Amino acid sequence: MRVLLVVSLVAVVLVPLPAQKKAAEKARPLTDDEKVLHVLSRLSFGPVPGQFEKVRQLGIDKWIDAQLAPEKLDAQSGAARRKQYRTLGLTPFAQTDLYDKMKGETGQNKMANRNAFNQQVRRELQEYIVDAALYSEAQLFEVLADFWRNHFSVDVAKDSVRYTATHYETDVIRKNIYGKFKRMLSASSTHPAMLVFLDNHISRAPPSKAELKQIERTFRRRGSSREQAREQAEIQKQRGLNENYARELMELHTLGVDNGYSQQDVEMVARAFTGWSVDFGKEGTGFSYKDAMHDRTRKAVMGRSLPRGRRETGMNEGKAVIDRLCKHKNTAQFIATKLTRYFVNDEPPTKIIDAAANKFRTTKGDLREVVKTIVKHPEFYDRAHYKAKFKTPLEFVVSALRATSTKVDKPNIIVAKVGELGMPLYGCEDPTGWEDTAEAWRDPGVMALRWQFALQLVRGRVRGMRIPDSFYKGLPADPLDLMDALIKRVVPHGLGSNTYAVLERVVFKLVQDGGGQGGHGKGKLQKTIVGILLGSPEFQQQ
Amino acid sequence: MTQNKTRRHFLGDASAAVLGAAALPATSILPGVFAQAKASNPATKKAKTLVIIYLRGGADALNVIPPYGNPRYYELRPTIAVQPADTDDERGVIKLDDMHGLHPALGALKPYWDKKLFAPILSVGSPHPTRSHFDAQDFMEYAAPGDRSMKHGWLNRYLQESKTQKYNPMRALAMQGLLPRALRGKYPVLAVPRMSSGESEGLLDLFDDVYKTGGGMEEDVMGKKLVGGAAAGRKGAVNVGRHTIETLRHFWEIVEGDDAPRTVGKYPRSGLARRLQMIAKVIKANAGLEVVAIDKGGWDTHQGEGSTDGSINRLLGDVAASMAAFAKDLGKHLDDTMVLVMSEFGRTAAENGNRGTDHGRGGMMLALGGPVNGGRVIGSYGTLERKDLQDRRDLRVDIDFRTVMKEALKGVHDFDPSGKFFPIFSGRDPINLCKA
Repeated sequence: MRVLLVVSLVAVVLVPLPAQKKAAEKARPLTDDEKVLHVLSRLSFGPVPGQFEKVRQLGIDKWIDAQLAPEKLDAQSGAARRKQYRTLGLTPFAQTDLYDKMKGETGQNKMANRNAFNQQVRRELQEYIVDAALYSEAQLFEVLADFWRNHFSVDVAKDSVRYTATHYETDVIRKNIYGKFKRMLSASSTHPAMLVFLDNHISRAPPSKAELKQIERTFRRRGSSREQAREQAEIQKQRGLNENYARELMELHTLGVDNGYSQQDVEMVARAFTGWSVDFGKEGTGFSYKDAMHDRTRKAVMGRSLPRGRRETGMNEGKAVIDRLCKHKNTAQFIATKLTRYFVNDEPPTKIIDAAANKFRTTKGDLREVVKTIVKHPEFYDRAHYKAKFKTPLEFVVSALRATSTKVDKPNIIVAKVGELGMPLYGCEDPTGWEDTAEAWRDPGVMALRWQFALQLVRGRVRGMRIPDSFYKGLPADPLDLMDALIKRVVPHGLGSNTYAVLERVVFKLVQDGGGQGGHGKGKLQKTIVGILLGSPEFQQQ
Repeated sequence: MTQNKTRRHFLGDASAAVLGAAALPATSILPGVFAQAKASNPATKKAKTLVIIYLRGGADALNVIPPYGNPRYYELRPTIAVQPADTDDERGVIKLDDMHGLHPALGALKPYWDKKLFAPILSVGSPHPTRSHFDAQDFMEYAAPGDRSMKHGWLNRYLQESKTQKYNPMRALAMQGLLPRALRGKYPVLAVPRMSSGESEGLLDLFDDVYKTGGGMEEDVMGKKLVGGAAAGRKGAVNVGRHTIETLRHFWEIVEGDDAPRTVGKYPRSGLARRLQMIAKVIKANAGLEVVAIDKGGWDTHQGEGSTDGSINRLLGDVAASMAAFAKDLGKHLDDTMVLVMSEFGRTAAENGNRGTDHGRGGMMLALGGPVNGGRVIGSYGTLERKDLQDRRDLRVDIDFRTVMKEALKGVHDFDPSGKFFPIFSGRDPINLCKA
């Protein structure tokens, strides 16, 4: 086989690439082994050594079914993991309590302890996310948590979100992963993390037209130009009504951009949600409905009027909007499309989308059923989707650590690495969340950091983590056999001919230079191979 | 979606060129795309450069450019105001005019004031009332106060709209691993990862052969042809790697190669200085660099800001020494380079109880370089009386930050932002930032 390869490589250099011949190629169905690899690469953060064999033995369907019932899978280790993160899921109210009790020998000391506590809340949240992604048995659950966290994206850099995101993660995202979509949407709509991130907490009934005219006149009197006065009036309007949440609720969370609502609807929905605000002095999440801020005008959304909110029941208007949005067929379609893009292909296949959207409608948004529909759809295993996705930074880092059985002592280093690679956890500045297509991650220069991580990892230069010696146990002595064994371990879905040939050359060279002979040299050979594998184009695909 | 489509268009240019480059002998030092861009487009040789240094956290204007001539300043800040020097040996306000001076840590910039190449801009900021770091930075870097539909940073919009030549990855640089919002958008911009040239080159060499475009790419190791997603996915992965290798090699070739421009003078030891030093080399190499963004954090001085002792003194010292070294290093290239220092907002006029200041509204910017109509203070703090302060506590906003951006783009790049470039912006009230 190797001889053949070298020959084909030479041929390749001489013969120019035939233009776009691949379209004519008849797609072979995936083999059973390929199906297992496909499932592991999409429904988990990448296989750990030995997992491929386990799933093959168990059978794909059984494995997926177990993953869809994670409460049995990860109950013990999950609870133990959560315990290590003392502040995980604390409400802002509970945090304030702990903060107030912080002691110190001196005033300054106390202040420092309190500041450290504030940092701890944010750090533990991020560490927990990577820790669970790395080690949880309930891999599909963690993959879905990544999806929904990104769908309902909030950024800890904004104001109080750094204190509320931890409760948001546990009670909005994780609690509802296999529940009804409406539950998750409702939970996000009443959570301070979302309300503050998208400014709804300050949204109140806007100034009337007469009041706005007055503002314009005042600015004109002060010598502003007409445009400046109008601009000021625009800005004053924002001080009242804030459309930010209303717009994203429809554009990002439910219907999809420009998909069945108008600017008029945005304004009406914004009015409906006035008063959905926060009060961190209150026990619980800190959500507070403030009726005094609520807009009292009559509202119609998408051509139908909303039930009129009376005093203190103004919240019903927002609830009615959520109900209407969840029942809307465009929401089913939008969520189905996004999930299919995430699990299957950047260009999501219509058949799977339709099946998932249909399931969404008939089950009233049962997310377990929708996910099941996608991952059990026959077309999920179409060769067109095999290895078709480019890993996001989180997927790349976590899958590299899983593939090498890396022992992690300090998850905060992983958090930092994922951030350096362009995907800080709970740190997407735009409410869109990270784009789930390869395109979005292909900026010039970006791969250098992945390669750096790959090599630092194998050389033991990333603080707080190392590949254990046991990972290299039981490997053949012959350098080329060793190479084949490591490929199987790290990139079980196989290498392209070019990468394989390059790797062969590297191995030959290292052996020639005396690097292949036992002891220290052998370590170098193994590490180089694994480093190149983790940095290879094949490892970036899933 | 539209963003992605257009982005593909840009990258299409690049990957086509990359494919061309792969046909060159591996030893070719300058990959095809860049050699081509240089040779075929003489315009790139004359590129002027706008360097944005963004002070994250809200820099305190009143202690950067102290209004030493206004007794009210000393009333508002009994412990942290910057005092005029009593003797020649003492560190105190460096006087610019009868009212304003430089913080003594900015002394290195004074010669440029004297040469009329430096101008502070006062009471500049956003018309939007937010005092949130997040929102203020967002609105400023997208140059769209209050408008969240804008998804392209103002510098990226400039790159898109002024695109008159073939894709050149050196048109813009972010000197940090993550692109700041100002540079985000559909025009692909190189974010230079934080690693030494040696490490970077080692990585690029190691993966050079692995990320080869062209023949043999679409086969698996058994000689079977890859089809569908696997083939496309592989091609995409290889292209991004190839792109990384080409652009970073090009960058390091400019900065550390045999023909790399020599650094003139000495830079202080700081991250800011190190990054500016690399930028100076790219400018001197005539690589077609048009816009640069550099972040410098640490300006959220709620406590221990101090006057000539606290954190602001240290931060300003680094900024001034780095900028002065950069200006000196550039030599005649300073004629075609403008450094613009900005921050999301200024701070409260009065000091708080912790020798610091809290989030405010109006702030300051600093402009340095050949295009700057300098040697004058642009704008004024006003009387600093309560009634003259925004909400009776902050510096007011007299100059819209978009006015500065607009005039910088015009003055440096002769680029006139179209009506839609800055949404709902009247754009009146020029400040004559640049030489006519």
